[in-house]
Parts: sequence; structure tokens; C-alpha cells
Amino acid sequence: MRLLLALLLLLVPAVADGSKAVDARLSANTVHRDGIRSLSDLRGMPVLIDFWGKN
Amino acid sequence: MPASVKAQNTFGADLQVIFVECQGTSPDVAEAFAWKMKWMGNPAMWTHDRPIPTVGQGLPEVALIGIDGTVLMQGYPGDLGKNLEETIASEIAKARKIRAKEPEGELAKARLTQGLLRVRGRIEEGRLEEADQLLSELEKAHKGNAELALERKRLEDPALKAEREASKAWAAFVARVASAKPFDAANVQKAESLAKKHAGTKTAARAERFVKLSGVKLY
Repeated sequence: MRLLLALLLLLVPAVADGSKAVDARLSANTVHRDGIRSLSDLRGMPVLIDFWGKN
Repeated sequence: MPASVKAQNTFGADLQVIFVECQGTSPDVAEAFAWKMKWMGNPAMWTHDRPIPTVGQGLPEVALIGIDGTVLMQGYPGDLGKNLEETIASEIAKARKIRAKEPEGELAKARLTQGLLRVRGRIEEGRLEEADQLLSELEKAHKGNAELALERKRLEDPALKAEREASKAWAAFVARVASAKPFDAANVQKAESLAKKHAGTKTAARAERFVKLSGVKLY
């Protein structure tokens, strides 16, 4: 029971974080920024972030 | 990666794809690689900084942020499957519905603000052809808007004639080569001639960079 409670307590913040709006400045190093300065500038449209690597 | 390129092409201006290079590859190699893989030539944005943290142990990984700015799903693209595309479509439909219901609401205002940022960004970057296309769309949706009129005036400034012509030629070039072996010798030669023809413009610098990237060794 204690273990279950501890697990639930660990899970709650993770779920809560997922429901918060996220924001971040988009770096000046961005190859193609299209005038957009941060994620919040894109609020109101879906944003798909694709993390990739060449290898 | 190809799925995200496809999503950007399918959903166009209703979706913003941000590609985040995560292995510390140099900007030149990453960009050359993206050209070679035919991932360029669309409105996606490219960066080396992670706007949000990854959650998995490996790559690729995708995260979908909803219209309210919350992360709706994140993980290995293969695990998200069709659900990802369906959720994107659903978020777009939701946004359209809200904007139609509240034409002066927060979402509609955000869309205009974002459009203005993009138009200004494109003008500053010398991407005048793309700025013109977007501005025309905004003008249709927001007739008589003073800020848009100001950008139209800026865009049509006679001083930008050379940039305008260069940008038009470059946009046509990219549309032709992006999905058809961009770094083929003939395409690189054409980029070289565009750089020479439009020397001194921002487009010429873009064309010169394309030529430089064509010579980058990827492996």
C-alpha cells in the first residue's frame, strides 16, 4: 500500500506537468525561424517537434 | 522525420513543424544532410536547441503541442502511429472552429499576430516571395487592417526591387529542386548562376550557402 501511494505521488507531478502550457525561446541559431521568436508565438496552432539525429 | 515532412506538407500553414537536431552535428552538415534527404523546401523550422526536453532514450522522437500550448503526446513516432496525424487534424479543426465562432477572439488575434511576425521575419530575411504570399492570405482574412497595409507598403518599396526579383527566382528554384535531388550538378550550377545574377541580395547569400552545402561531406 505504501509503495502504491509512493508511486502515485511520483506520477501526479508528471501528469500535472503534461497539462501545463510549454514555452521556450527559439534560438537565434535556428536555420529558418520565419519571424517566430518563441513557442508561445505559435499558440493557437498545433506544433510538431521532431527530435532527430543524422546517425 | 519523413512523416513530419509529410505532415508539414499536408497540413501547410495550419501546422508548424520544428526539427531539432539532437546529436551535436555541425549546422552545415545537418543542413546539407536535410537538403540531401529532400526534407527542405517546406515551412518547417530547424534548430539545434531543444525547445522542450526529450522523454525517451533514443531518436527519433516527436512531441505534439496542442493549440493551447500543452504537450498532447510525445514519444517514438512508430509508437504514436496514426493517432499522431489524427490528433493534429483534430487540433486544426478545433482551432478553425474557435476562430470561426470568435472572429475577434484570442485565437484569431493570435493568428494575425503570428502572421505579422512571419511576414516581418520573411521581409527581413529577404524571402519576399513568401512574405507576399502570406501577406495576401492575411489581407483576405483581415480586410482593411492597418498593420497589414503597412507591411504591404514595406514589401512594395521600390528599393526592394532587386530583392523581390531574386527572391522570386529562388522560390521557384527551391520548389523545383527540393524534392528532386537538390545537390545534382545541374542544380548546383543553377544556384551558382542565381548567386551571380542577384549578387548583393540576401537571396544571393542563400544561393551561395546552398552551393557551399552541396560540397559538405556527410560521412
